[in-house]
Amino acid sequence: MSGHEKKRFYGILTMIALPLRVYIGVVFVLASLYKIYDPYAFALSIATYQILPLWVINPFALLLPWVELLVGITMVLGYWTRESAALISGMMVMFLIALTLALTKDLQMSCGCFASQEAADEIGVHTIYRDLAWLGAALWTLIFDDGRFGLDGWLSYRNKRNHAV
Amino acid sequence: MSYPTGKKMDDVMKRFFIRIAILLGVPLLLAVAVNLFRPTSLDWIAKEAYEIFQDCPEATAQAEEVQVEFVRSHATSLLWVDARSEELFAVKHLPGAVNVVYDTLFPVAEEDLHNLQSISKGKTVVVYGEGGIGKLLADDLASQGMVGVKYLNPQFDWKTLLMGEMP
Repeated sequence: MSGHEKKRFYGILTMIALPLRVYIGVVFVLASLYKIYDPYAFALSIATYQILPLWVINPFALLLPWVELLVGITMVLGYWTRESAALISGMMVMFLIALTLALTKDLQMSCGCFASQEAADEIGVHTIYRDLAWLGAALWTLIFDDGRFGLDGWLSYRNKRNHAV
Repeated sequence: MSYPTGKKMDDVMKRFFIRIAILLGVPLLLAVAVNLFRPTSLDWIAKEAYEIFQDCPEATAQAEEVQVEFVRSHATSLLWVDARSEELFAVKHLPGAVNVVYDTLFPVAEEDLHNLQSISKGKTVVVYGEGGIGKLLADDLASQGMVGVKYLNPQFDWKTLLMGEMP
């Protein structure tokens, strides 16, 4: 593969990262809203997993939704893209571990990811597949999104232009 | 797509971790501030354990049903277990019966199970109660490893036994 072809190939990978990045960002923003609105319900969801000790549950329930909201927004905007994608990947790994443990314990519960899912949608293998897909989208962004289609790219372009002037 | 190397890489990594710290620090400040001014704020450390909804216990073993003839022939070696409420048990119960209240939501407590196992040595445990609770409790006990537990046929008029009469 020549240098030009390589550049073109990576350009395509970066372009694919754009919709994935925006999609995963929107998912995280939406997921954060009900948790911010009702931290008690989210704390109860965390407790239902029966993984974390009691003293960790509330700090987790209070902090995590705000992290989700912030990194969701930064992902949509393409600002600090790699850092946001890294944090989302870390969270997705954490969620996947929690889901797997809950499934091995045969817990019949909602994943607690979105308000509308309460009681209606029990966790199952399909939840694992969905989270794996989201982890894939976050990792794709982490690896291939160089920020050219977002605020990162625009700020970098503006800095370069200012320096040139 | 090119990746930085050497000192430039160190700078990139440093910037990466500083940004990660900011992306975690800002939400922490927001969480503290919003929770502080929320009318029903959540304690940062939970004082009481959360009440988690558990699945209703499902019997994994079936107890054996016994008929009148069995009660007659084993009258001296039976341990009656009354599955009814404490109030009904207090009003009247079969001679020598022990009360283990059946709860549809919770399996028999381990302590009750151990007590029952220790006092039933050499005896046949027969559970009775109104409706189908005799069978439900017997199945629950059998599911928890109690061997040879039986229940009285629900059609059997065990209330006559309560009056001290053997049918």
